Amino acid sequence: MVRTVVIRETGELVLPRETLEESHMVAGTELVVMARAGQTLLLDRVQVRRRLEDIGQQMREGLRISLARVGRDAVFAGLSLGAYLALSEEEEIALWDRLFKEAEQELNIREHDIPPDFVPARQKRR
Amino acid sequence: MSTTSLPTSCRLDKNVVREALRGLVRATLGMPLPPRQGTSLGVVHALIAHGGLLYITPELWHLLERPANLPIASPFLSYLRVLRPGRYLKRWGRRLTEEGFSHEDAMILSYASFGFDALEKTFGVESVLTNDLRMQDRYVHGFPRIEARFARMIRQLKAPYQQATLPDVVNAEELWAQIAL
Repeated sequence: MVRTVVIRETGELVLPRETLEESHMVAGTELVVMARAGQTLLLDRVQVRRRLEDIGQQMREGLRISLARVGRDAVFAGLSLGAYLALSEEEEIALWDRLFKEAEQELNIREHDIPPDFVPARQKRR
Repeated sequence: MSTTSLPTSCRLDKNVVREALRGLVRATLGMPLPPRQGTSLGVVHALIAHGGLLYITPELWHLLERPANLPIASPFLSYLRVLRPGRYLKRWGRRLTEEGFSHEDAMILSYASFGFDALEKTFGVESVLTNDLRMQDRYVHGFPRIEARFARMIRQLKAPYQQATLPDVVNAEELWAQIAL
């Protein structure tokens, strides 16, 4: 059910009783406000936790599919999965530093004008 | 009313991405995660779950999207966005190297002020997420000087650059403690 609510001058948002019942929210429920371009979401902690688990699950599932597709072939920087996992932290850092330097050299980064109507992300949040 | 403030826009440094990716591989294979990998991956998941926008630089995107790296990077890439280089990025980066930051750290911080997102019509980010405690320490302790220098630089610029902001620099562990769902 879509309902309209009005924000009071004090900034308070009063949700109709029906909305509270449908969403199982009670007085004192802590809500996470997600304001983004195009939509604003109010989620309680349980919903956020569920989203978090879903995101983890989706990433793992995506990786599982991706790894199954490559089989025994290389998975990162020419390394097999076993060789990638066997890298020590120092070796991994050195590998990423090398890859990053190569990427920097390959890309010719050019600055662009930022349109005058753009606002700082920090300011947009306020 | 109680509020917990998490960044809604975060620029990830390459070490956070590296640790999170390795953590994702281990988690997918059912292997235990070393603390930093677990924290980096957990923070990335939590920020996405909270609706945060996670940014990387074009260089890091280029690295991850190489065919040789895609088998592992592809599930991660769809949750990331690229900060494009805006004007004055390099100038502010040079100023930061004069404050003692390495070239790479200076560019991390400069993208957080002068990188832009055409989709959101924003530039800069609220926070830089790093595992580099030395860089964070240098930034926090040097902040009064850095802030004064930044203010002097942007004062002379036209809109929208004169509205540019400096980011907070947070490490994954402290953000993880703050999220503590």
